Amino acid sequence: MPAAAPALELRAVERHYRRGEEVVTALGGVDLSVRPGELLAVLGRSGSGKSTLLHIAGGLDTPDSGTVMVAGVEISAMPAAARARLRRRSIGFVFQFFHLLPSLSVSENVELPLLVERTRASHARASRDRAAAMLDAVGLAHRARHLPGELSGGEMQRVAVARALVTQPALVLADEPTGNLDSVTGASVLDLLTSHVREMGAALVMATHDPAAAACADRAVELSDGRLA
Amino acid sequence: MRALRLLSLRHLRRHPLRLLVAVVAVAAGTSLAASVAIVRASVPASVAEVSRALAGPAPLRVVGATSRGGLEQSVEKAVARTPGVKLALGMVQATTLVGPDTPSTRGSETVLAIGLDCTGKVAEALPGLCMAPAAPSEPPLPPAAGGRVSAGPGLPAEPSAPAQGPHSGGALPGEAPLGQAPPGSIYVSPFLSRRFATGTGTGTSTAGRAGRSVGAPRDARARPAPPVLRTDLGVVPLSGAPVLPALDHLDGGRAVLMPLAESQALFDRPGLLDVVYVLPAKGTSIRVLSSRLSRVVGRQDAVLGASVPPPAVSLATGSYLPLLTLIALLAAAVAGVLVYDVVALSLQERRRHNAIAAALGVPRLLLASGPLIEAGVIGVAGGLGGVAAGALLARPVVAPLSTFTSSLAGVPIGVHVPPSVVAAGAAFGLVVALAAAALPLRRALVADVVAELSEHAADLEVLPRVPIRRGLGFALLSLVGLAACWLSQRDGGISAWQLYAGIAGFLVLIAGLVLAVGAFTPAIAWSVRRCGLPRRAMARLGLANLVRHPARSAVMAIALAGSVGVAVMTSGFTASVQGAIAGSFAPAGEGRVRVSAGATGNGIDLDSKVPPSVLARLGRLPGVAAVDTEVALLTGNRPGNLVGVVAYTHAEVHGPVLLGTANQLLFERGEVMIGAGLARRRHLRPGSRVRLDTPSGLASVPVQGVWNDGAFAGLVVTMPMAELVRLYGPQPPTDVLLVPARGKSPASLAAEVRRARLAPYLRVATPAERAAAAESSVSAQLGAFWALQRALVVVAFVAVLSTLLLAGVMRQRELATLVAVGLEPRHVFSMVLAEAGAVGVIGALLGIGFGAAGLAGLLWVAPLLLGYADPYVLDPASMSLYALLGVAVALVAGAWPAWRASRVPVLDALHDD
Repeated sequence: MPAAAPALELRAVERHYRRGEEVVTALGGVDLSVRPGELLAVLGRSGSGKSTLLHIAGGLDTPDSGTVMVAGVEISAMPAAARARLRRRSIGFVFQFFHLLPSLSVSENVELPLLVERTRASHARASRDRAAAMLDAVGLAHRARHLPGELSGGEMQRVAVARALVTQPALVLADEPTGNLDSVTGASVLDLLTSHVREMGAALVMATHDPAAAACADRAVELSDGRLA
Repeated sequence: MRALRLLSLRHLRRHPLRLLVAVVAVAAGTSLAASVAIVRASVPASVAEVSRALAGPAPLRVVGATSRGGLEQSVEKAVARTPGVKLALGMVQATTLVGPDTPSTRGSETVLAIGLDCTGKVAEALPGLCMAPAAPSEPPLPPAAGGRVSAGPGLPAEPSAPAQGPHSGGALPGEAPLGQAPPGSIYVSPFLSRRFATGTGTGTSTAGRAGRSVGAPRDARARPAPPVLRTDLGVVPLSGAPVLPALDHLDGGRAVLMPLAESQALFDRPGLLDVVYVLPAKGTSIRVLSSRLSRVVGRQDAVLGASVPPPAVSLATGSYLPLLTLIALLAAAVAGVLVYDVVALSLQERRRHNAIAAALGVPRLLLASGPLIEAGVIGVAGGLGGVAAGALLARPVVAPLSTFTSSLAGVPIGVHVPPSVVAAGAAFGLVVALAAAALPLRRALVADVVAELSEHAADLEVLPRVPIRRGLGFALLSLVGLAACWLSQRDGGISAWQLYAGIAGFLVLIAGLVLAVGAFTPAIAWSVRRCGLPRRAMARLGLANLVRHPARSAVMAIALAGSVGVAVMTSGFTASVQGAIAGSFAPAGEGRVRVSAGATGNGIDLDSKVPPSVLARLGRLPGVAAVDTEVALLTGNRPGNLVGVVAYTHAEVHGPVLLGTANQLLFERGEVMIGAGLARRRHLRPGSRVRLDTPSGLASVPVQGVWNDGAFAGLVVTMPMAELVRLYGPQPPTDVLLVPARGKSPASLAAEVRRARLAPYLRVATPAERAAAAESSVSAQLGAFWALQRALVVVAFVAVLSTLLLAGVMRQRELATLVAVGLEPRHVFSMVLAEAGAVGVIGALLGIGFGAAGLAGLLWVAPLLLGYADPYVLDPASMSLYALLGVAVALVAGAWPAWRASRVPVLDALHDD
């Protein structure tokens, strides 16, 4: 990766959806650059295009036009499998509703992005160790064998944070990470997320409409009707 | 109604694929039960069809003490004199073979040989059978043996044979009604005419040419062996026999007709009839007439309805259908769980919808109506689909049964699907679906509306407890069932309670095994994961899914284990019986040589016997120490009083007895041996007297001992030949066995008999060949079980396919999460396929255990139902094959759900929240 390459760069990104006869513009020519280590808050009302921005940034969706580059690599033209690989290795996701797999234990959920990569026993041990270290870092080592259904909302989101960071990604995308938590728990989770992101030098793009969350960021931008204000 | 449509019915239209999958699942599950119902309905329908074809609209028939020649001719007269009887039609209905005059029966047809006196009122009542057949369109070939019954070359015609064939002396066939035809006239159906003319290699079809003579090829250069009718006295050439179109209404034309006197002579029924059909006078109540006739005929005779199957048929269906029903219930249970899944999914999707509706004050009954209607639609459509599939499945199930009943009672069983079965199928599907829907519906209706609306319900899923204890409980239940099966056969199983214990034990065993498979499947998946296996991430995820939804995993495993288990049981049972057969024949170089008139086995009622003149010649052949003949009769005319009576010319009673003695001297004095089944059914013990139906009334004979004789499902009396002749008159031999002289091996004796060329049709079999023929016969009889096993494979396929498809729908958000954290479509595909493969492996392994335990129970209970005790033998080749097939079925069924899962719409799924 070139040393000066932004962690995320969007150039003239457009995304439109068809809803019946109507064409809805989710993103209308967004230009955005996020430096490595930078924490960016994306503010906006519901339906402003925040989630679409994150999905396109994470390669879950592709723009109708424009380019998306993650750590200097253009992902908008990549095939789905290559985008998935990049996501696995370089991007971490944190969702509002945690999205933990209920059939897997806490440690297995954290280890999930590493599971696909490992092929040898030594790698298996290494990935288990990394997941355990990450769980320890978010203060949930004692819950490693528990299932998501046995955790509180705050604990589940901390597990989701651990899962997003376990691959030491260059970019972390968080979609309303405190939206489903009470204010005290939300603040604690936010603190955890930002501190670990800063610690590992990753960039964070966080969609939120919580001013308190936005205050933790280095920079905030506002999306309105698919455009940066 | 509008509220119902808006809140409930619209949901059905939104998920056509899911609806289709559920309907197919119910259809697959119902099809087995439907096929059994169709088989059950087909038996009386086929009997009624044969009765109608034979005797027109005769609603009643009188049968005698034995299935062949059980009625004295005087009974016909007594019936005819009874008030309310318009006409009594006494008939001989022999079952025999028509085909080339060779030792092999290949190319022969089993036919009903009808003997009927077509005179006076009979000719008027049966214009079809008694009509004058059309004249042949070309001169027939001369009959192969001058129209006389031929016992064999160089042998005199049998004394009771008809003097002339139908066309000897230049008489034109079919010029006169049968009653006025020349003595010895035998009429064949157009089918037989075509069948054997076509087989001549002339290349000329005689289809539609009623006058064509049987076996009359146009090209004499390619003339094959002419067709013959096999009888108890030898064979009768059919070349040039006239054709009677009405015979094509009987079993597709597998029938010949002859005057009554000829049939009585050819089939060794002097002065005896097989049946008397009764045509009532106008205005006579059938019920009243039936009771009046019951008083007129002997106590040993019975008056039956036209569609009541011959009692002998119950020998086949009595032990056969309950086992098939058990397999069908297993499939229905699988279908029920699949519907449960569909309804549970549907309700889960509607949780928010229902919570909103409940918050707005919509009554719960209205909310419940949607899933109920959905379940009802699935059930009825699946039930109807199941009947259609069951009709297809019934064909291979009916085929072996039909072969048996054709040769035993002259009644081929065709597949009939009456409207009642269609209605019952729809009702069955409905009940299964509604029963399956009840539990998830109840849960949904008591759901917490507030929690649902405030989204507290999200992500609160807790992994269910691993049901190891429950599995052990069910395994214990299986052991209890197995113990009951074992108890049922102790000391020969001659006590009445042992039959009930055996049947109950077997049901408990199967129920316990099914439930244990269901409980152990997630437990095994959990244990494997706990051991850190498998190492591949996707396989671990697949296993995790099996642990997470134990009920769903259980239904897939039960369906797979059921198909593998039934295969293990059927193959093992076949191997066990074949092993017992091989063991019952003497080792190579010893034993007796069987001689028969073409038939491979001992069809007790197949009237193709070795005639007396041939028997005499056989006895004089060098190397023959003795000719031992066996006579077997089936007596009784109600399923509850069937008894096989067996006698041998050189009977030696020895060997292990269950009760009493096996003393040769007492035996020769008339003290009989009985089978365990008869002792159990009639509470007979040594010193008791066994009552037997005979054509002239009831007889009773003293019982000397009870032994393990499996003939006639153990309902058998073995008596001296003289006693049998005293009770039933002289009988043609059912079986002829040649005892080799000292120093003579069976193989060399068989070669000697073949070289002697006593008759073209004579079939000679060494002990090894007899064993092979018996083994082949057993395999054919188990064909129905294999047919159902294959149907279970289809059910397993549908179960895995539909369960994984539905699981894919339910797990959309998780699948999207996997993609979001970086899994590629191939990883998701592998995960679902691994889940299918894992459940396939677990199901196959548990299926082997299921089959092995089920076989043990079956072999303990089988003597009670079938008469024979067989050793426990597993067939490793079949077990491996069907276990691999189970895994392959699971993988193939998992492929489509895996593909769909790999293409999950990520954004939509993540946005669902």
